[in-house]
Amino acid sequence: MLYGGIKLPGCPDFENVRKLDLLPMPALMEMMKYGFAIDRDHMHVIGDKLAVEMAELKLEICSYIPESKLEEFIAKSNLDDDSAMNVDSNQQLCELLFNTLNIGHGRELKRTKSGTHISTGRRQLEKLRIDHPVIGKVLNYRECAKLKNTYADNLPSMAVLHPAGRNCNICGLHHHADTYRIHTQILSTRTATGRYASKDPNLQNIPIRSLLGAAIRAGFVATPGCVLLSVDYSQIELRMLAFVACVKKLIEVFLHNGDPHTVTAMEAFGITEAQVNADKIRYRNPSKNVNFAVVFGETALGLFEQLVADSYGKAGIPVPEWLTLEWCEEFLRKWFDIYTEVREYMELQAYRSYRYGMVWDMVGRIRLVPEVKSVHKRIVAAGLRQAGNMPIQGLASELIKLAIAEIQEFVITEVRSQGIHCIPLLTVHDEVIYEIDESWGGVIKEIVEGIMGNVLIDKDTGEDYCTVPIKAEGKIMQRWEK
Amino acid sequence: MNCPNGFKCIGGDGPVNAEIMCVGEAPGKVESYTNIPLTGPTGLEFNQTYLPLAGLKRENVYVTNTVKHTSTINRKPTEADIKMCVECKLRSELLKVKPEIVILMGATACSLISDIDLDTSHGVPFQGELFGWEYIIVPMWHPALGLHKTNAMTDLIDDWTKFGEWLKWREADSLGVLVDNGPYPIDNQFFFRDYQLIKSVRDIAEYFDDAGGYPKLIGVDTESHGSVDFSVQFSLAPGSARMVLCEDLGLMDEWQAWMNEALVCNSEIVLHNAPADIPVLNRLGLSEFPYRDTMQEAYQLCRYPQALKALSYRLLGRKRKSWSETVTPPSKLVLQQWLLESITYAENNLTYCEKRWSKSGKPIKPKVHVSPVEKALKSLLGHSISSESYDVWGKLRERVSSADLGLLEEVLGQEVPVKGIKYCSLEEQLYYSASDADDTLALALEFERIRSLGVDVNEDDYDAVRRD
Repeated sequence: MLYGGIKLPGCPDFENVRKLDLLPMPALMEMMKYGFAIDRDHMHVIGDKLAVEMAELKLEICSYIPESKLEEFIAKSNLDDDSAMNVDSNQQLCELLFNTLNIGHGRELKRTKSGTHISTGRRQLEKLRIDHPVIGKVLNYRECAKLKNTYADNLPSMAVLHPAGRNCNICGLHHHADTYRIHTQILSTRTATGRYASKDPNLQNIPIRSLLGAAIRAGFVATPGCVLLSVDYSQIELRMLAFVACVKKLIEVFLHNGDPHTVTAMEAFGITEAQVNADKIRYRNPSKNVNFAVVFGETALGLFEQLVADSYGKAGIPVPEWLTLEWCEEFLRKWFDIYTEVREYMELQAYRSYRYGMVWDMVGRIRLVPEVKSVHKRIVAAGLRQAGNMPIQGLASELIKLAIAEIQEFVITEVRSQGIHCIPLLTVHDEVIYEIDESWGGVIKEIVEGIMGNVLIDKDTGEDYCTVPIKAEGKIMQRWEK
Repeated sequence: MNCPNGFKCIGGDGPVNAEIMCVGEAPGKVESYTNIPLTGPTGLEFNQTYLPLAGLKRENVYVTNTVKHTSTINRKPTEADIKMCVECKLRSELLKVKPEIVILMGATACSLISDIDLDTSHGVPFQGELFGWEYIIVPMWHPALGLHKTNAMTDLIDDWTKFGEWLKWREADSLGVLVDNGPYPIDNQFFFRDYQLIKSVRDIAEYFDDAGGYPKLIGVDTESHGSVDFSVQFSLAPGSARMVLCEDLGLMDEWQAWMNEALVCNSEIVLHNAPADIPVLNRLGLSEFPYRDTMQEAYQLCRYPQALKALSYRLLGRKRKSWSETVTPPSKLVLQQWLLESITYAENNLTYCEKRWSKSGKPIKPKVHVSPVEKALKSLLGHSISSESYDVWGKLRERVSSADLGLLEEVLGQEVPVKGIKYCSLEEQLYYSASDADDTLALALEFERIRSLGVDVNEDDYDAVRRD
């Protein structure tokens, strides 16, 4: 039995899932009640920076308009300022990219729903990123606009004032100073894999890879006298894949605290560790992408696009000649040859999808796979990819639920009972964040890491159900940073 | 097909004496070449996936579209498109085919009958009227939905499978031997629903007595009016519920004592969307209690909607008015009264007359400066009276600044009336609120039954299947 009497039956078990889903609810409700403090001035500064960045990008995008077409664009832009085009208008962007600059000429391009224009959606632009430098600028502009409108401008106005003093009328806590806090809604019944979703505002999709995205996160702060403790599971999905599919080589790597991406590269390319380390972009990066791509059921095309966009496009490195769709297909094939158990595991999920119309994770949560009934191969394939992913992502989300519940019990019985301030703030996928009295940060971090790491250990017998070590890494900080 | 408006039109397809007519949305690109409705990728899915689930073949059903002309390719048909085609074509097709069952696939086709909420009623047949004639109507999701949003295929597959079961049941029922509603639930369990307002301490004790003590599960729901806790409802047995008003502090204390006693005796509270109710129950004196959440349970079973009213309809066969349908009309009346008072105040205090004189010094007609607030309030009042669907609360916040609203609230001594349960009649309050608690309990019991059926997993033949 795991925490709260939860079992790992390995077959559909609605009762087990019902109990599990209720366990973390007290902590989630506290997260929604207490909210996450933000630094409104910081958000305003980021908003201003984003505005400057957007203006610069706008100018750069407009500079690609050929002089002969400039007047035509200005006439159409319909803007009061002196910019040559409205970059926010998909129609004008389509005119520039596809009709004027002829990007993607001769390739099959997706059109908008109405069919009147070529789509300027993110997925399409990502594919075209290497064709022309303006695409990268448009994508950057869009990211800045999203960060500014959704977060930098919006969060300060959504924040609720918790006045200084005892017994705050909103959360009941004692605040040393006026604090503005964001109260997101955490939804436990929205995703197919059991993960949590968040809305008003959605704090789960703040992009963290870009500097400005990270700066938005840094606007979430600890209140004076407190620190933030963020603990997340390290490579949890890959570890769960190794565990669920009994992937011997991956289990070995994790048991010896090795780097799975380097090992994948060594096996796939038949080279030594030193050679991998000497050219990480060539060997380790694709291996890392594949390792995660398999968990998320990515196709060779998806992998190709990811490598082009992430490893090269965003870094501004020219895409090498060897990186082709065929190379990705071959690499994926090799990957499955190295980790043969994963192929068998995927076959089992496909069998379950066809036979029962569903797949399930170890705790017993099910996901229906109606797609296998379709006559369209692409729909069946999409369904089977999701079927392969669910038991892994599902189990990872069950772990975080168990951990949140167990930590909450520890917080109530061991921490708050001693008058120490410790409140849960947020959970984002495999990360949990707490606000703690600064003098206790280090001690509580160690304990929380321990609870999270031992989540699959039987509470009665001490038996470890997981064949792979589960690692949780905590970080103490003043601002929410990666 | 001849079109009086000069468009290229794609007519229906199938036997003219078909028992079942399927009505889709509008022709797509492929249909414009084949001149036959539902022949593209959606048609393929419809013919080979969904119809066989109901034991039907394409050649035995008549298939047509709501909108026949091809000008709507790649766009959603407008109301004008629908009106144009329906009047001149669909009506005559129905006359020609005279089907017994009309399957309306998708929102466009369902818009032919008012009051179809696809989210709630998809897949459930009912006796309905179309162009003045009676048919068995079956609202369904459009088969194209499954291509765009593949998880919607669960509903489509379940609906078509159940529809097939229902056709078989109907055939057997024609002999007059069956009394239920086939695979669909029917709300015939309770001819009388025992919903009462708790008026005295004795009422609570009697209700627990009638229920035979403390039951295993107690359905509970709370109602708030704006930010004020209004009432709490509880159901000890399906078909019954009681309501306690929060303003009656003495009764609330008594209710809390009874509930705490029930919890000590291992009763479990059942809520629907617990995070919304728990803070209210905490304020009412119930804290840290064991509970179930029927919204979570619906989510875990994967094939049910999560909204309470939709669940009630699909699992219990109860059709109920939504919160908005229940509270909007009476709340609107109260708001209109507030608007009238505000207008009177604005006319007397915010609008002023500018006295004017001619060049010769003779007084002329004074100029009336109507305040923008008064203009906005009058316009809002007019719209709210003339249109039922007008979102007067949303527009009020849009058109009148919060400072002006604050001023009006202060001088009238009353806040802007929100949309809420308080303005309903006591009878409506009781029926609506008690139904929520009653349905929550009934759903918990139904989910318990479904969970107990489990999923029979037998993978003994897996190795053999793999070898094949």
